[in-house]
Amino acid sequence: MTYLILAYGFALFALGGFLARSILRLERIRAELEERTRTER
Amino acid sequence: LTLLTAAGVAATAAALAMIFLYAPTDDLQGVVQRIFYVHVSSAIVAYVCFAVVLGGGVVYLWKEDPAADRLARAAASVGLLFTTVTLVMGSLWAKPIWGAYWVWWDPRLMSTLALWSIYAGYLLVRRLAAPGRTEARLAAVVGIVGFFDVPVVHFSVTWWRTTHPQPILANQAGPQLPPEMLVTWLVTLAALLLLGAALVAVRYRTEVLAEKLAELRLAASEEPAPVRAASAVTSR
Repeated sequence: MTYLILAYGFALFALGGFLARSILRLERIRAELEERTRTER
Repeated sequence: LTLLTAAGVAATAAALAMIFLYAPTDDLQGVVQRIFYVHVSSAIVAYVCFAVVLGGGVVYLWKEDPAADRLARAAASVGLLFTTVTLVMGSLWAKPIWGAYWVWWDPRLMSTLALWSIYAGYLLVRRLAAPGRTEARLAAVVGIVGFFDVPVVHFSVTWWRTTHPQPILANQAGPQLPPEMLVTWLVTLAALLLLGAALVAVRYRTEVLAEKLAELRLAASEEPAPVRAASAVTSR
């Protein structure tokens, strides 16, 4: 049971963490891009 | 993009529910056998991602299409993630069944570790090479050559003697699984493929926006100095 919990814990941490980090990076870049475009206008 | 990501997350949650609530417990191995569903599916998603890296690399070298390069870069990091999941889950499954986390010189394990190293190297090349055309061309070559390890990983269990079990799904006599386990595995595979596609799409979109941002930054840095600053210099 311990190994099963460890395995799924790791999988959720890795996949969830990767997804969260990717979305956060996308949003950060999108926000900076919008900010720059607005400033240029 | 939001819809694809939401669908991927929802499908993965549904697959997890099936793994823990619907799939029967294996008589021989007990509950730890449930690692199988995500372990095998992750390996297949990684193969698909590396096939995308191969395709992207070929198209880039052929047509110098930056979109193909972006797609290859996005798929490589997602493929590396799924290979990591496969390796770690496999080790945690091996410990209670084989008595060891890792069996050195087992062809399946070592070829999978080599696969992980190749694509970690691919991402390292992207980071270390001179940005632009050189980086993309070098990475494309690594991505194309690196893909040769995928069939080696897949067929290692039939080509050599291994501790790792023989394929039970891609078996000549058909899948060697009870129907409930087979359905659960198919749902897990579909869910992880969807999640993988969502991750690649998010990474691809990020690449597109990051390139636009870099162009804007470059344009801003190349603009002539403001008039006030220039006059201040001449008046001195």
